[in-house]
Amino acid sequence: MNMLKRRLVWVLCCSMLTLTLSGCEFRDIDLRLFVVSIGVDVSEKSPDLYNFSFKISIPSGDPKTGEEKSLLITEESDSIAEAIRQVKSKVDKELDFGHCKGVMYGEAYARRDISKIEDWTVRRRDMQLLMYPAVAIPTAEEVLRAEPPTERIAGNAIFLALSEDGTESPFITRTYSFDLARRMTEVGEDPVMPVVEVGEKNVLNINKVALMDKSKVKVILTKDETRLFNLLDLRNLSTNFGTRVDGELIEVNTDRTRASYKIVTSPKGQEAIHFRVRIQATLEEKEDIKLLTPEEIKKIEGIYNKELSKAITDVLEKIRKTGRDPLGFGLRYGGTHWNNKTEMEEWAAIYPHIKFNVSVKLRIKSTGYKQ
Amino acid sequence: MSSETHKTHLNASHAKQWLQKQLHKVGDIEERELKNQEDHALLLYFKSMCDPVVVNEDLINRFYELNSLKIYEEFIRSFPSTIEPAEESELMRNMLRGCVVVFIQDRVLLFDAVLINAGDIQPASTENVIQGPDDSFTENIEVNLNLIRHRYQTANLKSEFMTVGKISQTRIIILYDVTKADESVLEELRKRLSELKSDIVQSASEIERHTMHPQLRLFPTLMLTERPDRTVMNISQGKVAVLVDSTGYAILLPAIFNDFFTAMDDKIQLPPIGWFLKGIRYIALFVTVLMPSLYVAFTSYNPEILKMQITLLIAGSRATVPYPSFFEVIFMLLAMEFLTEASVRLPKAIGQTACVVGGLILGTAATEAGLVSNIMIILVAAVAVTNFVIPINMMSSGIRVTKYIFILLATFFGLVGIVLGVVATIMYLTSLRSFGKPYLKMFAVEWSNKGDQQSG
Repeated sequence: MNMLKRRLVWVLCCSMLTLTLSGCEFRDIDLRLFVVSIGVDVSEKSPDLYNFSFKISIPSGDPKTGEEKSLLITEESDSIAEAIRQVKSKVDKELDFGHCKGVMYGEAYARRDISKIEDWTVRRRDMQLLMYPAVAIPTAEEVLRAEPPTERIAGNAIFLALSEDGTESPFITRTYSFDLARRMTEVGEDPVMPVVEVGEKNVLNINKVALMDKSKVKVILTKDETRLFNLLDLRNLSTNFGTRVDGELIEVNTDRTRASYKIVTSPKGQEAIHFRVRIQATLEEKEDIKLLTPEEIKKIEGIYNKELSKAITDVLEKIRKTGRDPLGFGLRYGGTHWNNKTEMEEWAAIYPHIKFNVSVKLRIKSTGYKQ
Repeated sequence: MSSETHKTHLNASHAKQWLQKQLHKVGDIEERELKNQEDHALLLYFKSMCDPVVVNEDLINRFYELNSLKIYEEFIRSFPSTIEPAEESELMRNMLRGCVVVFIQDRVLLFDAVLINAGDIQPASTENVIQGPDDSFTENIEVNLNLIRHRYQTANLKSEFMTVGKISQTRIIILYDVTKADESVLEELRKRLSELKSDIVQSASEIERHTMHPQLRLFPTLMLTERPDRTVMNISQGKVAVLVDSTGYAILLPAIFNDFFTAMDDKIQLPPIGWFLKGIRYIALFVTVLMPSLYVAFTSYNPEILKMQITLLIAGSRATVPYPSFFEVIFMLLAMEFLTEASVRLPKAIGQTACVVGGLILGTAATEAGLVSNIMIILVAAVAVTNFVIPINMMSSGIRVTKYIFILLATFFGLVGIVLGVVATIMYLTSLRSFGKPYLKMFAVEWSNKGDQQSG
């Protein structure tokens, strides 16, 4: 017992001593600078050089004032590793990428090849895999420089939008960096990225999706196409659809949406994808204020079904024409066929001439009218 | 014990001489000779230990009222606790306890006139309940036994009397329900109590310390309680209670981890509320043990785990703090411990002042001076409050110490250290045994024969 006590006191003394010897490797939270997002642009000077922008969040002492401070450092370099070392010599604290949640690829850069940076972000130990990659228009630096007035923490506005934690827009296609990296190597499914634009008065506008040819942006869909793409890609997309019935504007708000498809491979030469889209909606806006009868609702539903089927077929055909497969039809085909050696080649032959049969069933659940 | 069972009895004159020799220089001894025309008797007793009213009424007055010495002797013998000692050591021991030695001719009798200085039954002070009985054990073992028998009225409640402590001769009673208690536990208890070697046993916790193994440990494996209702409930669950004279506490054994998180309120409240209260206590356990160490780990090793808002908040409020996070935590926690300790020891009137002053300095001034971060104050307050949520004081003290081990681990190894610490603690707790029963067994009563009570 005595021996044990003496030993315990000895251990305690030693550990108390070592506590005072914290070296310079021990960096507390206040000795770190948190890089919240990274931007990559092509340099105008040379095709081999890139502009790397780092947005660093500066903690404010008083959280109540709500002021947000950030620092944007742009470095020109041929590699990002080199750029980081250069930035390190410009700041007084340790750079920490643990909270880096966004990589913005400038449009010009994204149309070239993003694989190098994407690989770096998933390779680095301290980077999170649930980063939000996005295409930035006009440049990544511009997007990072924008500070929307609603933002309370530096760089947070863009993540709140991209993650859909904050706003829930039907035009935002949420993409994580692990998913991007997976799709970049996946056979039969191509990556997509949301597009962030700097609008007037520092407002960020995210309403398009970029379809990618594995590592470079191939085509950017328009706003309405993006919405339909999201309708097909996601479940329970909350959006509105407008149409005109006898010249009168009608808008519905979707409650539940569900898209499913089936690949039909026979007869040969007439392969088709049957898309079934089920939408449950409430009537939100209508010019005429009189009450609707069930027959009129049926009529509105019929018009919607026709119009949406047409619009969706157009989008699918547009996507097919680019040769890209962001919805993963190829992966489904490969996954449901057994001839492992040849199935993807077969798919490559089928996909260019495949037909889309889209059937939309929109049901207006409620007229939204309270009596 | 009646005199008939003794074949031999002491020689009065020898005994008297022996006693006088032993009691040389003992000031509070009273030697009174009673005489009438033909007879005489001698009373010998400790003034401090005997009740003077009893001595006057039953011994002195009667001597002159009763006509013959024969009747007087029979009168004394008629008291149930009167003993005729067989040997001198027995004589001495009972005298020290508070018996009057009565020499009648060549007979020696011990008359029980023990003076009991027990206060009234006080309300419980360390285990408070909101609605429920307020009684707590007194310093008198007989009163305590009475309190228990009153609540547990069956002949199955057995009581075994023992004494421990070579000098203190502390009386203890082992209480158990013979139909429910585990014989192996009883055997083990008797063995350990008989092995107890200390001279003085003054408190129940001393018995706790001397009988349990290993001696160096953070978590109590015996329950000390001052509440008769808790004792009764535990006895009804098949546990063994040990009452110790001259302390207001009983020992309950075997005790498991969960027992220390049970308050008597749980049974008084409606069951879902009882479960909620118990849940709160376990949450409090984790908060008080892990919060400070998590703070160290998050601020110094793994800031990426927190949300960005919190990260920046901590970083911002730590901007003026001149030393590393673990110093901050240890300083603040030590300051809090000093406050707690001071408020226990100080008289009530001053204690309040000390707390207010200390709290002000810690809470406001330290943050405004930029010595500690705001978050740290919240954390210390949370740790202090949650620590007091644990109902049994011995356990909450153990937990108080445990958190420093976790801080140390977090300081050296970050989050990994904390995880290892949790694993090690669980392994340690499962390895503990309380009288052969696994300590971390979460429910004291087997599910198969579970009644309306689960643990205590």
